[in-house]
Amino acid sequence: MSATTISPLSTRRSLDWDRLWERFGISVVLLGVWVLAAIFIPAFSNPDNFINILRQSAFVGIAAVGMTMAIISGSFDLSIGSTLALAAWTAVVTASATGSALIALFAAVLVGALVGCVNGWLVTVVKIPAFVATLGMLFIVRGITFIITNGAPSRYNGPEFIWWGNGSLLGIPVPFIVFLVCAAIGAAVLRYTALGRYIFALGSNAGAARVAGVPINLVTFLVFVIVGIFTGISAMLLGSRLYSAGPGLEPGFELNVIATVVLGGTRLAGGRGSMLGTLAAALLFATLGNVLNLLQIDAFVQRVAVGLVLLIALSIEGVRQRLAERLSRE
Amino acid sequence: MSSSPPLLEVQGLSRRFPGVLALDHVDFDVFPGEVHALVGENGAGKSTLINMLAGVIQPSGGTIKLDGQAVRFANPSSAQHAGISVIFQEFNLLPQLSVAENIFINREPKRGPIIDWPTMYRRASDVLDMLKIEIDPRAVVQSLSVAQQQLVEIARALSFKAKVIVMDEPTAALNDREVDRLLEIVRSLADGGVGVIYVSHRLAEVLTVADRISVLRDGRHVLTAARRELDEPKIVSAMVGRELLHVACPPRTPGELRLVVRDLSVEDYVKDVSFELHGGEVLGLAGLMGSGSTDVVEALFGLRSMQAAEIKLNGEALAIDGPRSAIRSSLGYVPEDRKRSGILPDLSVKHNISMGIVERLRQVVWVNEREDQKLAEQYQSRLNIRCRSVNQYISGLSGGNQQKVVLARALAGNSQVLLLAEPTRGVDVGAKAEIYHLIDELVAQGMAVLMQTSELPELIRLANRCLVFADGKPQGELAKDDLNQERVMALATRFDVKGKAA
Amino acid sequence: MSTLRRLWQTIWESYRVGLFVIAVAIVLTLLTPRFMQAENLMNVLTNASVTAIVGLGMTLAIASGNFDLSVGSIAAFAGSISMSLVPSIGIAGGVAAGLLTGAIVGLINGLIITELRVPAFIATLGMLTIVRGLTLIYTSGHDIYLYGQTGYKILSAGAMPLVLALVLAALLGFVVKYTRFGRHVLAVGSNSAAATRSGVRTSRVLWGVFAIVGTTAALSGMIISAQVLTANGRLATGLELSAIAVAVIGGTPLSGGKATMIGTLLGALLVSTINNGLNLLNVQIFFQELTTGVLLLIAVAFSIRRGYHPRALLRRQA
Repeated sequence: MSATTISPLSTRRSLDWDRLWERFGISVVLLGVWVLAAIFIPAFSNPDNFINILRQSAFVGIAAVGMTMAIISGSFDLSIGSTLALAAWTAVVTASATGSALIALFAAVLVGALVGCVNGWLVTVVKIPAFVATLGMLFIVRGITFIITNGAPSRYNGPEFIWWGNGSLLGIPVPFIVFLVCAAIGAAVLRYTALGRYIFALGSNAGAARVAGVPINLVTFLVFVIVGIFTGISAMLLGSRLYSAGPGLEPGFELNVIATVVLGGTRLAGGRGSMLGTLAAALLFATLGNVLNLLQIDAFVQRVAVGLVLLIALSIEGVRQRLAERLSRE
Repeated sequence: MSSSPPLLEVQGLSRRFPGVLALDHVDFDVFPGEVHALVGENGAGKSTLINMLAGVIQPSGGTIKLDGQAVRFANPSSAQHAGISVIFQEFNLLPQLSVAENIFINREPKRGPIIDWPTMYRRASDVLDMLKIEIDPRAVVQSLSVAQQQLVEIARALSFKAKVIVMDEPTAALNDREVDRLLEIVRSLADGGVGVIYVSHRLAEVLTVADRISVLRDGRHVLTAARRELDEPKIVSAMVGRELLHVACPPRTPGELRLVVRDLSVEDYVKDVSFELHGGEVLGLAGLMGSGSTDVVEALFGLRSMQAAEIKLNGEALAIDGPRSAIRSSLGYVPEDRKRSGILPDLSVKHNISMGIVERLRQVVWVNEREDQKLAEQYQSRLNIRCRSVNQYISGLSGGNQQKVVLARALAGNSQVLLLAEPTRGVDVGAKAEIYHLIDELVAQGMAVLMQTSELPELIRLANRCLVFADGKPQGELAKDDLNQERVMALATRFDVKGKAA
Repeated sequence: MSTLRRLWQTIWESYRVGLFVIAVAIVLTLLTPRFMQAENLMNVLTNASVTAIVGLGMTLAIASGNFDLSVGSIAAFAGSISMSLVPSIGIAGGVAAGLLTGAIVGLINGLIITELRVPAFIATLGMLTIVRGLTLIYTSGHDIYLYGQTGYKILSAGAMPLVLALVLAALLGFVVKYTRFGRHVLAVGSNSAAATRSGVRTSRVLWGVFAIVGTTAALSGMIISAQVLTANGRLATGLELSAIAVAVIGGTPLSGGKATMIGTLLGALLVSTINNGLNLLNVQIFFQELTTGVLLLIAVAFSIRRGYHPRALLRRQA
């Protein structure tokens, strides 16, 4: 059940600042950061640089679309980092075997979906808590990846394949276009489909959702599959971008994705969330990385920065909860 | 009782919550060595009083005096240290730890930095022996029965050298033999000089063990008398005697037979429930908390495991294994705890209403937004749900309006039978009347309503028939003419008004 | 239930893992003669000890109702700091510095959880990245190699890891059984709200727990570095899984309130034996993480079947 407090009567008249911030807050911050960076860092306003940011944001961003839906439903998936590696490798290998990028994409998505099925099964049937189940799968899938690849990455640079991760359409990087499409689909599912409603309901109050007739197990299972699918898409694009993929791809990926979702305004406890926020947060993180690069700050510092941002974003929610508790006891 | 001054004295105690005065200038006292029972219906104010004595909440007015000194408990710790021990209905135990440890948690006897287990076990044994309880202090609490766990709680309270022990519905989960045992222990506690406040709705027990009995009603103190001056009918009368809402129950004309239930049993506790429900009537299920009335309603909606010889709706057998199949079988449900299992707080009014039938609103993949909006607005006007728009978040609505939304959801699936559990709990007077009116209308239009409620005036206002439960079994059915508060309460407390013990 | 039956149940509960170890050992002995060789057995025990040490700390965390996902990073960080300081403050100083580092990082974890109300596994997930990043910054991405300071190897030589593991198990076992702190750890894990209401200082208990976890992680990290006299930022990735796995396999329930140090030792022994066996049978080394993961899931699944219901992990500590 989400940690919502009933809004005090006074906000019934005025704007619901809470919700507005949740929806648009990060976008505002993003624009602010862009403006500031453009003013203070000359290299930033270079259009090529900007395109780079768009491209970079997509890899974490697409997976974050799926994770957003998972977190809104009150679930969680720690295994996506390993799934990413496995799916990316599958994409590369499939591409080099068939020469077709689309088949590679399909293969990656299939791998992601399969892992999602296993996760879903562990959580809904075996009833292992999502955290432990996906933690276990994180290592199991990683092990499988190592075994299948024999520890070595595979490479492929067929032009059709690498266009996806490196090419542009009308000046806009292809991965970013895919990101926008995925985000739009995700937003549409959440907003306009029964599944979307069920996802919000499950995260908002699982008990009430059950009473209201939501098929809880089915929704939870589907959510894991969805996470897997989006991770698969991201994986194919990443493999395409790097011309290669293997175990050890993008360490820390799961944290980046979760941080993106949380920063974007989606509550960790579920029931509330915004795809627009995820989009903005993905761009913000990419911007952050870009700025740190331009300022020639250590790559390692960047990793610390991501962790810090996540903790700060979560602490704010934690502190708010504490204040609310203190107020209600009076 | 005694010439000594009261151990605990409460004067003019009040507590206000947003929208309701839970306790209104209540006076109460306890003398050393006495068992003073506190009785009242659900919502009479007993829990509020207990919570204040326990230091969980603060009074809005009035004073609490312990040994003649005015006291203020900022938190549970200070109440405990002052000598008041409260044993709540939900136990405060640590299941994986031993009995002795639970008793002495945070006061573990030590030798230097090391815990002195032999001494702890010994002291625990002493306390348990004092109460003549035969439980191994080494036993893990999780392995004990509920009755035994309760005894551990009592032992714990006693080990604090409590002056006053408050017990909240101590016999709720006990069988007859365990109840007798507990009453003996309560008596011996009092004989040892402790003042016991015994809160319970089981009047037979109260009349066995208490020295004095006080009755609360609607937050006010109504009666205090010595046990020998009272009997069940008098207590019942004090508990319920109030003016009925002046709108009487409109005449109901029951139509065709809609729902037939035979030999329903729920989870080993509720047994032998059979009834017939017709369209156009309200069948009330009455009974005190834990009597099984709620379980019946929950079971019919698929929230409990149940068995029945027959459940038929309009002649067709129903197979209900969960809320989804119940909704598909045209049953609508309004749960008793709106906050816990009723509303989806982060969603809009509109989405709350249609959640049960979203799939029917589908056009291929997309939900038909226009139909959804129309449906919600229809219910908004029909049930007079006060909100700026149906797209508003439900958390911004008042309790009464939220309840109407939940009701709308129950109706949205073209339900043939409406299952209600405590339909106006936590709802203010104005909204209550509105909801009653709505139910009247629905019934007049042919709805069959099965309503569980512990609010007697509500029962009498709405039901034209009533099944009274106690201890998991139906105790009797009351028809319209017999339906009054005394008769219901008598059956609910298993004491037939005509003078025969049930 | 008769005392005899209860006794058997306790034995089965605590030592069932031991029986599995024996069974696996027997199978391996039959499959390959190299298993029973002294050097190999030493290997098994050493690896088991390293995992056991951090597993023992994790056992305490799980008993209190929490997890610590950052132990791998703490191990790397502490190992790096420890090694880098040896040239200036000697081996003893270096070891002390490493342990202190672990304790401090652990304490920070505890503070984030109790004061900022961030759920334990997210907090430690964030710290996982932060601390590893700090390690990489500190080492500038290079290895730290202790030339000629073979005295440092005392940590990993011969039976030292085993001794350390056994001593730690005894120590923590004692703490859990005979100190107020230890009992309160179990109380918090059993029913945090009731514990707080009974006056237990839940926050302080958790600070202590995470500080201990950090320290054990640091010790494991230093032993691992000592084995090759090298420390770097890539050390001990995945240690957290092994730590959680051996604790759960050993019989400490995820739902909290109970801790078995002996169980963790046996769990570590089981995992180490199985991995060793896979090695000897020329199964790829990559299978090891996989088997640990599978064993963890199996152990959890059975624990749930037995009736331990893990609490909602996104709920904050009271």
